[in-house]
Amino acid sequence: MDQKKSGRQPDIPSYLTPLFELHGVDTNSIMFFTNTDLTLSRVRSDTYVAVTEDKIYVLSGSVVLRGDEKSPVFMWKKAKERFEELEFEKFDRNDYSDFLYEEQVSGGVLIGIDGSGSARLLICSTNTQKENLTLLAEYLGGGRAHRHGEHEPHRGDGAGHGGRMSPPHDGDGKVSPKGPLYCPKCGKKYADPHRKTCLHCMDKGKVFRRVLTFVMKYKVQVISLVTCLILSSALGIFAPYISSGFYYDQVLNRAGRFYGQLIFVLSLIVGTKILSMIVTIINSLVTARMGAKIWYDLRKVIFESIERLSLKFFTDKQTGSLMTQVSRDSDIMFWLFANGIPYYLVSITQVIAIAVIMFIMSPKLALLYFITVPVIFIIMKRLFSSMGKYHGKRYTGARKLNSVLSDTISGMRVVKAFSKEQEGSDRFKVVNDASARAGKEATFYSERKFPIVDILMVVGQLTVMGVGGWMVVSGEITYGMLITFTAYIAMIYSPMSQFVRMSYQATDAINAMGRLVEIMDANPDVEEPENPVPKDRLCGDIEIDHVDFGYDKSRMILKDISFTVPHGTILGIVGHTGAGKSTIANLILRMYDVDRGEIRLDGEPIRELPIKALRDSIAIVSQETYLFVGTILENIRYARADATLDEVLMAAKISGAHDFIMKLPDAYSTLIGFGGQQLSGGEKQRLSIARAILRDPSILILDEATAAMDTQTERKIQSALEILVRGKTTIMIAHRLSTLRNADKLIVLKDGEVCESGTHDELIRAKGEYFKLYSLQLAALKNVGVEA
Amino acid sequence: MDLINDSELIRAAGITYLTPETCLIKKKGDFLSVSVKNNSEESDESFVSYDRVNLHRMFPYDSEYKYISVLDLDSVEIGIIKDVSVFDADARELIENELHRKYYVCRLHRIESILDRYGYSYWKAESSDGEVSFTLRDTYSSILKSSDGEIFIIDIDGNRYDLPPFDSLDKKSKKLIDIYL
Repeated sequence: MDQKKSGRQPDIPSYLTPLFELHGVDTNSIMFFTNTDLTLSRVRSDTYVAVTEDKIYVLSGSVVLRGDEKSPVFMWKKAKERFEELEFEKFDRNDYSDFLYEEQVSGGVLIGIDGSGSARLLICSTNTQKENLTLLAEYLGGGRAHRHGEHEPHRGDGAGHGGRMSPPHDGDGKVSPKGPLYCPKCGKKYADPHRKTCLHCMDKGKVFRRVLTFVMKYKVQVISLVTCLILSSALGIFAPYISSGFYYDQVLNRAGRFYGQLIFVLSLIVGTKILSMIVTIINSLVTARMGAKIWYDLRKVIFESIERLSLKFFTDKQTGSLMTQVSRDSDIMFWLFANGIPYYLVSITQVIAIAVIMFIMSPKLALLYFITVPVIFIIMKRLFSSMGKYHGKRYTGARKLNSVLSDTISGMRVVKAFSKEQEGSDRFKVVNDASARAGKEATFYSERKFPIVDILMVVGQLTVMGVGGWMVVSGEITYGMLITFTAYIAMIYSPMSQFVRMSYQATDAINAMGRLVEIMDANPDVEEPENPVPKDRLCGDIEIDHVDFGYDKSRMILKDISFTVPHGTILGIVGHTGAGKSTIANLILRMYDVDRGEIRLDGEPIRELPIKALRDSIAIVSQETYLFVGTILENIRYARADATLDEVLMAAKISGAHDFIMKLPDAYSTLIGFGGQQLSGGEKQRLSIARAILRDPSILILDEATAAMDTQTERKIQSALEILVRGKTTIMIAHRLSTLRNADKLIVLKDGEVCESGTHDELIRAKGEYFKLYSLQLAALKNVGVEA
Repeated sequence: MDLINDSELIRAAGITYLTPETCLIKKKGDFLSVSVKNNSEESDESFVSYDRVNLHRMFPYDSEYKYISVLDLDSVEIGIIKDVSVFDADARELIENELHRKYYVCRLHRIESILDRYGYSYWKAESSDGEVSFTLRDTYSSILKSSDGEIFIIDIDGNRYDLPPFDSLDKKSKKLIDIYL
C-alpha cells in the first residue's frame, strides 16, 4: 500500500518541489515520501526520500529560513523556507532484488541487494529517524529489522505490512518536514521526544483556560480569597495615611479638622489594625481549606489520568518522572492557584493603587520617584533571571547528590563485597563538592547583587526626601504628606518584587498545567471497545492468528505467530531469553495491542472484549512478583478482596507459601514491602502463585513461575500446580524444559518466530531445536548429578 | 470453582484442622501436649502424640483465638485450630494460657509522653502493670492497627504493647499518638 493508494497524497514541502523537478522527478508520480537525517556520507542533514514506480530519489541538504532573522521586519513577516541542496542520489528499484533495513548502534541503514547478491548502502539515518527508514524498507518490500551484529538478516514476505506509510503524525495530524520529533509550526525540536508538545508554540492561554475550568469548582473559595486579599491590601494602603499624613496634618496640626481628637484617631488606627488582622485570619483559613482541597483533587486527577493509560506509557522512558510529576506538578499548581494568581492580582492592584495615590498627593514628587522605578524593575528582572539559573544549578547538584547517595546506600552490599568504600567516598565527595559549590555561588550572587536594588531604593527615597523636604519648607506640601509619601514608597517595592518573582515561577506552573492537560487528554493505546461483546467470564479458548508485535516498531519481537490453545489444555512455550515468550503473555492480557494479525478468546477478537472481563478471567504468575506495602494477608487477597481466611490459607498451602509464612513472628499479619519484612525471590513467587490460585481463572499463565525456587521446592509445588491447572487453559513458559513435559502441546520460539511445535515426544523425535535445548539441559543436569 | 469445597484441592493443600473430635489437648509439665487422631494407614495407633507443641497465631492482630497453628518442636505444622471456642473449657484454658505466655502483651491504658530524638522515639505510658517506658526505632513499621481498630506497638527489643482503639483513648493520648497513625 503506498501513500497515494491509501487515499493521501504524500506531503511534500513546497520548497522541495522545484528541486525535485530540476532533477527530472515528476512529483505527481511520487508514491512514497519520507525523510531521514543523515546523508550517505554520514553528514547530518535534512534528507528526503521520494519513491516512484521504478526509482528512489534521495535529496539531502538543509532547510533555511529566507530573510534576516534578526531584522525587525522578519518579526512581522512570515518567514519563508528554502532548501539548500547538498547531495542528490538516484537508485533504480529494478537493480535490487531485495531491500533490507539494518539497525546500527546509533541509527539505521537501508540496504539494497543487487542481482549479484552484493549489498549496497542506499540511505542512512540516526536513531531519531530510524522509524521512517523501517517504514520505507517495509514499503519497498521486505525490510524486517534486524539488529547490528546479527548475521543472516531476515527477509520479509515482500508484501509489506500495510501499516503506516508516512512519518508518524503528531496530535494535530501535521508533521514537520524535519520529522516527527520537530514541531510542525516552528520547526524546533521537541524538548521531550516522548512528549510531542512544543513549549514555544503551546497555546498557553488555552491550557490556562482549561485548568481554570477545573479550579472554577472552587469559585466561592477563590472569590473569598481574592476579596480578602484586596480588602487586606486596601487596609494596608489606608493604614499609612491614617497613622502618618492624617495624624500629623489633621490631628496634631492646629489647622487640622480633627485637631486634638487623639482618642478618635487612635481608635481609628486600632480599629484598622484589628480589621486587618481579622481579614488576614479569614484569608489564611480560606487558603488552608481551599489549598488542601485543590491539592487533594489535583493529585487525584493526575493519578487517575495516569492510571487510565496503557502499560506502554509506563514502560516508556518518560515514566521515570511520573512520581515527581504527581507530587511536584500538583505542588506547583497548588501554589499557582492558592498563592500565585491571588497575590499576582493583589500585587498589580497594590502597585496601581499606590501609584495613583502618590500622583494625586503630589504629581511632581511621584514623577520624580517613578523615574527610578523602571530601572529597579529591569534590574530586578535580570537578577531573578540569573538567580533562576543559580537555583537550577543548585537543584541539579542536589539531585545528583541524592542519586549518588541512594545508589551507594542501596548497593552497599556490593560496595563492601568489592572493598570499594574509598571509591564510594570519593564519588560522593565529587557530587557533594559540586552541590556545596552551587549553593555557595547562589548565596554569593544573591548577597552581592541584591544590595544594588537596596541602594537604588535608598537613592529614590533620598531624592524624594530631599526634594520633598524642600517642598515642605517652601510650603508646597505638608509635613504629614511627605511622611505618608515616604511610607508608600517603602510599600511599593514588596508587591513589585513579588510581581517579578512570580513571572518566573509562572513559567513552571504553565509547564505543569500543560503536562496535566496532556495527560488528561491522552488516549490510552489499549482502549475499551465501543460496543464490547457482552461477556463476564471467558471459557479460555485461545487463538493467536498471524500476530506481529514489537515494543519498538522498528524492531519486531514477534513475527507471524500462530497457534491455538483449546479450552482446558496446556501449552508450553520454549525458547531462548528474549525470544518473545513473555511478550505473548502480555498480548493475551491485552497490555498491548498487536501490530498485525489477531488474538481471539472464545472465538471473539480480544479488542472486542470488555477489558475487565478479559483480565478477570486470566491470572499470571510471572518472573517478577510485585508485592505492595501491606501484610502478607492483604497481598494474597490482592487477587480477590472477598476471599475468606480459609481460602487464603488453602491458596498459601498449595503454593508452598504457608511454611515460610508460619516461620515469621506475625505470620500472615507480617508487614512486607517498604519498611517491612524482606522476602526472597522464591518466597515472593510463592505468594504470586497463591494469588493466582485465589483468583481461580479460566486462563492461567505461568511465566517462569517456579524459576526462583530450588529444585526441591519446585517439585513440592509442582503436584499442587498440576491440580490447579486441571480444567483451565494454561500457558506455561519455562526455561527448565522438564517442567513442560506434561504440556499437551509445545511451541518453540526462535527470534520471534515459531520454529517448531508438537508434543514433547514428537519434538524429541524430530531432533530439531527443542531436542537440542533438551539435550543440553539434560547433559548439564547430569553433570551436577541431577536427573531431569 | 469453589476453592474450599474442592476436595482434590483440599487434599493437595494438606490442611489438617484440629477439632475436639480429632485431637486431645493436655498439659505435660509446664507445656502443652497434643494427641492427634491418626489417619495414616501405615500405623495401627489410633492417636499420634506430641509431647510438647508450640502454638502460633496465623493472624495475630485480627484473630486472637482463631486460626492457631500447632507446631511440633521442629516447627513442622501438626494442624490448625480454626476456632478455640469449640473446645471444652479445660482445653480452651490450656490453649489460651499457652498463647498468653507466648504472646505476652503489655496492655497500655494511656500514653504519658512521647519524645522524638535522633530517629528514636521514647514512650512513657500507663499500663495494667504500672508505668512503662519503651523505645521505638521506626514508628512507621512499629505501630500497627488491627481490623477492629486496636493499636499494637512493637518496641526496639520486639516487645509488644497494645492500646485500645483510638476513639476510646483519652484526649492526651489521642493528641500524642495521632501523628503516628
